[in-house]
Amino acid sequence: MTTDVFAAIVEPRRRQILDHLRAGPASVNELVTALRMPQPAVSKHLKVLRDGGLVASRVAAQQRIYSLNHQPLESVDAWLNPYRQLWERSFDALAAHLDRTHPPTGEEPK
Amino acid sequence: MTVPTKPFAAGPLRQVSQKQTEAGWILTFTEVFPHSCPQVWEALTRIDELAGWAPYVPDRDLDSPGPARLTMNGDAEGTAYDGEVLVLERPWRLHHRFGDDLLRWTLFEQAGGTRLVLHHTITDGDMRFMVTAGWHICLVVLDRLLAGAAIGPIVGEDALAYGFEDLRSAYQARLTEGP
Repeated sequence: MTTDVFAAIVEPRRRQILDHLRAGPASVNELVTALRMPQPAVSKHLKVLRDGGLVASRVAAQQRIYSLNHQPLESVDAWLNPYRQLWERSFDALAAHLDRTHPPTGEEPK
Repeated sequence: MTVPTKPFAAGPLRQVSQKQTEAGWILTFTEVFPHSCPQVWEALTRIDELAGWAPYVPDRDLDSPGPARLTMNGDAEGTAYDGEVLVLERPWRLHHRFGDDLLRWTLFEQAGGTRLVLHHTITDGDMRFMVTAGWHICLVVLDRLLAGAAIGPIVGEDALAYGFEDLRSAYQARLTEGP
């Protein structure tokens, strides 16, 4: 199974793992304790996150340490960008509408 | 968490030992089944039998050397690991990779049945109590399957409903106690 970044982040517990790793690398046990998640779930989700390139791991002292690799999230940001412009246009339109119906204060109606 | 519906009893802790090596931790499980080596062999190598008890289901029978994709049994997302059969001597010896891990299965004929020895090499020492609890449950389920009273696999998060956490902490206590 090829995991794309969207499939990787669709699962809420995987987003929790990413949020936790933002603060720094962690072992499976640290994630289990910090997130109060069962170990089988954590290891499975870490596997999906690794496949999606969002998490890297290295073995240190016979323990696997997981760290965040945020670079693939850029594709999420790129996908969101046109929607962000849409919101901004909507806000601009709303501002213009309010300016017409409720002229800015400081220009008292005569 | 699912509600337990299967007639499953975890029973006593299984025979397991551990060894720390350059390659990682090696966990060794020893089980005796009142069945012939060829019967146990089928359960270790055939897709349809593995699906009934094992943590993974391969995309082919594990009866010849070479690559095999191992999908986590019962996983809704179909999360899969690369595997490869490295050694195959039917019906005695099967070595295969399972992701970063190595599984070495050996069967011995003995009076009244088969002794199965599994060496599982894991690269992440943090995982060894979880792995041990997982194999405990799977090997009990395998015993039911071989006895002709299959209860279906108990894998992944479903295992939490069948005493996984108690087993994990019991094995942690056993495997970390002093000499």
